[in-house]
Amino acid sequence: MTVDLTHKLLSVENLTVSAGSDQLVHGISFEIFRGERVGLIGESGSGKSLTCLSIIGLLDGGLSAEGRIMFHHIPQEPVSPEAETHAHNLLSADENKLSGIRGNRLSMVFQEPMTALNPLMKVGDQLSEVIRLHRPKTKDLKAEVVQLLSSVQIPNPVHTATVYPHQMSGGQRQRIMLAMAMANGPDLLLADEPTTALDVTVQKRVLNLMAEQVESAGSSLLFITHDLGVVSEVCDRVIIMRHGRIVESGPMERVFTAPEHPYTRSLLAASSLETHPGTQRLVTLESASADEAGTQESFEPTSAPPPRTATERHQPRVEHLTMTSGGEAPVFNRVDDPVISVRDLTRTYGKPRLFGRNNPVQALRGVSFDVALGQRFGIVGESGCGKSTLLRLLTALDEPTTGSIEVSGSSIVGRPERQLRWLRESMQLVFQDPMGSLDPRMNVTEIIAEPMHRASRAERRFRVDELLEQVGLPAGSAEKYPHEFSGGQRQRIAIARALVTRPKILIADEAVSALDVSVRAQVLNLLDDLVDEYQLTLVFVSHDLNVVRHTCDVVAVMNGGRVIECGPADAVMESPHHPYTAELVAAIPRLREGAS
Amino acid sequence: MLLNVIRRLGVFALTVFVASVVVFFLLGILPGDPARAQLGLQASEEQVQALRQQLGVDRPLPVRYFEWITGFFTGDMGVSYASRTPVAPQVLDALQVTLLLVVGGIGVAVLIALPLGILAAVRHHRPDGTLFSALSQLGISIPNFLAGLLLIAVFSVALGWLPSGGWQPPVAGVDFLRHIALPALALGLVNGAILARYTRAAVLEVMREDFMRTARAKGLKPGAALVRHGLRNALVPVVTVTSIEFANLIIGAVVIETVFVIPGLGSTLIRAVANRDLIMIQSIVMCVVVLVLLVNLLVDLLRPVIDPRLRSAS
Repeated sequence: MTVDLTHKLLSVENLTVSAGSDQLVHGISFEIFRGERVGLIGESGSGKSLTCLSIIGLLDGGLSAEGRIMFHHIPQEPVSPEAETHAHNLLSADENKLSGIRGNRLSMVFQEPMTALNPLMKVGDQLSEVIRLHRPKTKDLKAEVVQLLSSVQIPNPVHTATVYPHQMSGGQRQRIMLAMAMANGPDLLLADEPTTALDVTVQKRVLNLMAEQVESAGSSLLFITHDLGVVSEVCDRVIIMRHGRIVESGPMERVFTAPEHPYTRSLLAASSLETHPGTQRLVTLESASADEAGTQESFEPTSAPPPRTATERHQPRVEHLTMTSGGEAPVFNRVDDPVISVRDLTRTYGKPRLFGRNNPVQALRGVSFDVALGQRFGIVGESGCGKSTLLRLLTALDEPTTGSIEVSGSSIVGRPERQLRWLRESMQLVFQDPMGSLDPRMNVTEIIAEPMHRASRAERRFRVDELLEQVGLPAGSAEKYPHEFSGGQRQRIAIARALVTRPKILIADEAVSALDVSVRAQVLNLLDDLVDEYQLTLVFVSHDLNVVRHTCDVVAVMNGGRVIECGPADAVMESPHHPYTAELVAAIPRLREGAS
Repeated sequence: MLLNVIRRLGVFALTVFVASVVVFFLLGILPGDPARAQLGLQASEEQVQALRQQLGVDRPLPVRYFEWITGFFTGDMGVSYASRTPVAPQVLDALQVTLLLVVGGIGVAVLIALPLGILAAVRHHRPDGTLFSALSQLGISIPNFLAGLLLIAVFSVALGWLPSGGWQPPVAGVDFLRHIALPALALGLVNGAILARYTRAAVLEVMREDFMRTARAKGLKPGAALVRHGLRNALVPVVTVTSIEFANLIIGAVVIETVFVIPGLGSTLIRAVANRDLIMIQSIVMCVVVLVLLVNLLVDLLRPVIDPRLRSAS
């Protein structure tokens, strides 16, 4: 279906959302036409989700929306002249009216597929409920549910209707959510970050499916996301939001190729990991706090610092190897004098018990690789590929079933904790979740200086101040607590904490995955500087191939508990040998051709 | 699923065994000779020895344990040291009374807790919701014997609607109900207040769940969403707490039976303790233990029925 610019479907007029006296969305207005697919883009705190929840009338109790959200009736064929003027203001409609519209003409897919379905109700029943609710006269509910399930490409739909959500994968659950939202052929589908929690290959399939479903039902789509790549796969027009205001909107091609607003330009640059020519540093926004006042001039990318001195790091040549099917797993990235050396590592979970079945899970099935001194070693893989297990073994938080791990020439397998103190000092971790990985009851000084048992007060203070400066946090941060910082700042604290022991190896586990793109660029730049300054060997684990490519020299791709391909990051990305790597590379959502 | 049931039953049997050993030996090594207690300080050593032999308490503990435990599960609990009559009929009669009282108490507790807890959760930001919360807080802080005395003062003494004590068996019909009403109410009020707080917390938590928002997005009104999707989810923790409360209720029944002069396990137990009727005490305690374990077993088996996620997990 083509976009019908003569028929407005939804017009948001001067929408304001506030929590008490605190205004979060400042009088925004936009329209969606019939069959149009609009992307609403913004970073966290931009008000994009609040806008979406205002439309469907499900804002949390403490929030209030003002303005008008007109939902226009689709004229029946043939078009009657008076039908055009018929519209409801969703903000002033009563609960009766709204519940008749929700799930029927206006439906929504949420971000988190793991928790958005009722865990105690069979999938088929949850689907039939939404049909029965709005079309009580439907005769063969069961057949319709099966039909819906197969339309979202769920294998074996008759059986699937009788299982519970916890028996399905995240991707499957999101298909169920999509089926539920599309069950009554809505006029408008709201999708709030529907694929953010999914792996890239799954994301690709769900996005295609969503586009297909919206197309065939002739629905309009409002797609809320922070990911510009994802938007460019599904939308015709984009609206860019920041701090509760719309900064730019227009046809996607135009906005992505010729952005007018400096923020849009920076966002595009940060999303595609654009670097300053010459320095190889990522383009970032000015630090977010500086432009809190909304001055537009500060959106300009930061001026480039002098070129990196250690660009020509001495690196051993890396062989590009692929796992051969059926054959012995090769030793990937073999070097003469490795810092980390892993051989034939396996880890099997599950032990026989007195009663009950024993279902051993092979999380790692024979992994061998080296990491050279000063190397930046990336590990990429989707959920369940074994990368978390590998990390737990590398950091001696868990014991392998078989195989060996040597760090700086000493084995770390089968050692009691007291013999691993040197490892705890020389190897440090930065975790994914900047909110959960810092103790909320310790202040920044206590967090960073915790390992400095024997140091005097003055020494601790000196080192903490030094680190805070290195990670770019204001000097006054030392006495503050984690909740007083933003996500990006907390990740800086986590990095400072990791560096306090002057480790030789830094392991970053999805360290930038939870950050907004603009913050991500800043933290990546910071990591880059610190790796040089501290002469670190970096093991960088991520699901995001682009980030790994930018950050790492060597990348190992994991799948099904094995490393299946390993080589120089650029070579692996540009000419993947293994079919799985090729699929992974192809699934990355990209800004449309010419956009970046 | 079947394997799970078998495993639970195995654990149940093992727990009952361990509990019986603890009950028998702990009470068995307590000072105080039942024969001496019967005959008084004036009796001669020979008389006491003779009675010990007659009662069988001169034999070694393990032998007595084996005799007692096999008897317990075949319905022969031995002969009371005090009254020289079989223990089993007395204990079973008393058990029946206490069980009725406890079930009545649970019934009252659930009838109070569910509506009060749900209302307090749904209207938590309104004055009446806060009032319900305050009421349940007040309920928790009243000891149940005081509740019993207050109920007697109001409904028996002042209004004269219900008897202030005594007991009638269920065959007595209306008279049975008249006699059980006040003690069940006294027992259930306090536990109902505790349960109401758990219910409120469980419902509040469930209302914040993502799937409740999904239910609203489907077009369900808030009330329908709560009934169809929320309550069953909130029920899982509430059922668990109810089973824990059950043990509390039996303890509470001991006190309430004394307040209302009811011939249940509690009053029988108190009499047995006074008489140093060891075998009676052991049998009553064992009955209570088996009862509590049985309820826990039932709830363990019931939880996977409510929550499908627990079926595949074990």
